[in-house]
Amino acid sequence: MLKLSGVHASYGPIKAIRGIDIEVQEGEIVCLIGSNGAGKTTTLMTISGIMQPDAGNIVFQGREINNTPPHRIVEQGICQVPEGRRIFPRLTVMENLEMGAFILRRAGRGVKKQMEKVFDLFPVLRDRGGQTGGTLSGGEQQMLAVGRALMSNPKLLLLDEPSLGLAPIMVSKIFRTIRDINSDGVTVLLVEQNARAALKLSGRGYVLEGGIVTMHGSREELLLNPDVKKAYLGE
Amino acid sequence: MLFQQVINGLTLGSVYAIIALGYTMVYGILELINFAHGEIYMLGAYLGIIFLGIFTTMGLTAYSLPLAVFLTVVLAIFFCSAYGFTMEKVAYKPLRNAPRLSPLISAIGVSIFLQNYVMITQGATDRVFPYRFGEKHLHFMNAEVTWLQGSIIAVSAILMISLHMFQKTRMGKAMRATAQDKTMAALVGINVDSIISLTFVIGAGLAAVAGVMVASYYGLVNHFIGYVAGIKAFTAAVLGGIGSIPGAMLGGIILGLIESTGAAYISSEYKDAYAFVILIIILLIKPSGILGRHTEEKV
Repeated sequence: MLKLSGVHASYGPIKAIRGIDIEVQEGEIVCLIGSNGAGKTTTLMTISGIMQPDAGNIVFQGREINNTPPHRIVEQGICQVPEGRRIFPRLTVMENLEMGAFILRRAGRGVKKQMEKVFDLFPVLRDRGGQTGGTLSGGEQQMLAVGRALMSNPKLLLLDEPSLGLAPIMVSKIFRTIRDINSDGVTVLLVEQNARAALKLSGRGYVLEGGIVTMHGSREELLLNPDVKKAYLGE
Repeated sequence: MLFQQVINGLTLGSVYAIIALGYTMVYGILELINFAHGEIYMLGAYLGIIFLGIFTTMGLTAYSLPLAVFLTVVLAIFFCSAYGFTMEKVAYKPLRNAPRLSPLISAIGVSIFLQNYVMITQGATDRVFPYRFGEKHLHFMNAEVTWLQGSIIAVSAILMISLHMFQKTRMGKAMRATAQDKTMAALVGINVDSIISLTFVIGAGLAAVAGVMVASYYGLVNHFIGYVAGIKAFTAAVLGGIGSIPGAMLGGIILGLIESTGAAYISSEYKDAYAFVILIIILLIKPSGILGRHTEEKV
């Protein structure tokens, strides 16, 4: 469904990713693990078109999407929940969700239906509808961020550190929800520092170090790999 | 006497408010002080004179004054919007990722260019508005309100209400979202470039209306009027809180009221100085302006 081949990207003179190959099949949950600065966020931002790759190829559903502007990428069905949630702080919860459905040009029934789906997933958002995004708690903001991304009815959801800064109970809720979203037919590419939780959820995973993929394999392979255990699972 | 000054101040202030909206909207999205915005207003004033002149020659003004004025305003909006759109594409978009000083310098360059462009094509002398609106007026609580003043206040109010309503539409919300977080706006599928263009087009359209209104009010126009009006509208935007749309409206009105009462009760010689005094005071005691927001955000 999504295939990155030899993708390089940089911030000015600093090379953030150096030739990454990643493949995601339809229906999978795939995770990218790695330490700070390994290039995980850069990889997602390059897929979303916020950053342009210096070299390499990104193909989504048979179409090359490098050098496609970000809004066109969303239209093709890739939506990202970025690190830090990035709720629009002075829009209400409802307005944040409506913005998530921006690409569904005609407002109305489609948007309403999608919003009901999000409210079923996160009932608390319904109660918070008129509040501005900036006044929500961290956990509620994360739910809103995921809900907003689902509003566009994506085929592939990119999640960047969804557990960051959340209470443990909220983390397990968010991970359960990701599983639910996936069983609803949405493919997920998950970036996490919380490697154990991420691997448990995923079918396969990639390990990023210093801007390159150093390892990849199935959940079992990675969970049992001594290097992964030592570096990321704290064993 | 006081109420008369309030009416005069409201007239002036609503024009400042309309221009200030253009500053504040662009600042809200790009964090750029578009110093060439005053020149768009000046272009609007000239376009008003040119088109109403043409309609007068054609006999349309004699046939139906409201129709001629309406068409003049529409054409001024159209051309000023085109100038605003082009200005962004040529002078600001290539500098989107440059250090913040660069687009500011570019803005000053555009401003100088437009002033000289108008001076060369329209001449360096004052131009006269081709129609004198009569002195017919209403008596209202011991004050005299001319029809023109009433119209300026009413048109400004309508424009502000329309802008407020636009903010609630899908595109209006997309504009607010873009102002709050451009990257995130792109990630939900908003075409940030076209939102930025739209902001410049709306701001320029508003400035065009202000230009035509002021040209008809004072009757005289030259290629420098954009400079002073621009600085005053900028002060109004800062006074209200730059980036805030209600702030620009409020700031404009307050500035107009201070100017007209100051001119009546203190000295009209210092009429233009009041704006600068206010600007200095605000920057000293509350740089975020009356309705400006703190930049803290909950994470």
